[in-house]
Amino acid sequence: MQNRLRVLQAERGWSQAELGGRIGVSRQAVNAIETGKHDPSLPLAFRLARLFGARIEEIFNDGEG
Amino acid sequence: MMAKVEDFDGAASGEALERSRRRRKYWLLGILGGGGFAAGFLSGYTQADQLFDPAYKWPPALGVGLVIAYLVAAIGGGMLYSRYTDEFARMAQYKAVALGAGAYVIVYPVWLLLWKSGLVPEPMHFIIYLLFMAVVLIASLFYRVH
Repeated sequence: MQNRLRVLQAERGWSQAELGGRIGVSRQAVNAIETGKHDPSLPLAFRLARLFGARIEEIFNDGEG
Repeated sequence: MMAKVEDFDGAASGEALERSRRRRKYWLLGILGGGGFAAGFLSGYTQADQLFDPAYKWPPALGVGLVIAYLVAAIGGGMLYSRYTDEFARMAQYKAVALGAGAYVIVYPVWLLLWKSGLVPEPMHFIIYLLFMAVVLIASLFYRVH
């Protein structure tokens, strides 16, 4: 699944660890989500969306839409 | 522990929170590892001469004490550890355990059938347990890194 996490982080000047701390996951988890190796659960996707003030589909793209 | 986004609308930076969570996890692992080492040391120190002699029985008090320590560490420690673990690490762990179970399902019947055919020694539960743990450990590391 593609996502805009790296862009959104860069816009705020956040590291992976910074983002991880804000959503309650490890830096490795953020890296895995960023690189598409791990699809976040729905609750985590909602936390990310709330943090960035965006809708889930504005952050994640499954390539179908 | 999973925290909600709203918890972070304050002074603490995400990096500090992530570091703190990681530190708590390492402390817990250190305590569990230290407990395991102490249990192993105690067993080895008191039963050194007959540690692996199948005919020799350990004192019941030692066995019961070790079982209680193990249950506390495995159940209590596991519950605490899961609070410091995020979904990515948990998923890696699930996959690793599934792989370990797959190894068990394959290895044990094959070994049993070969033993029944007189080709290999009788299956050893300790070896199978070690194999399961080794597969889980290696797979867990693999899934976390890749």
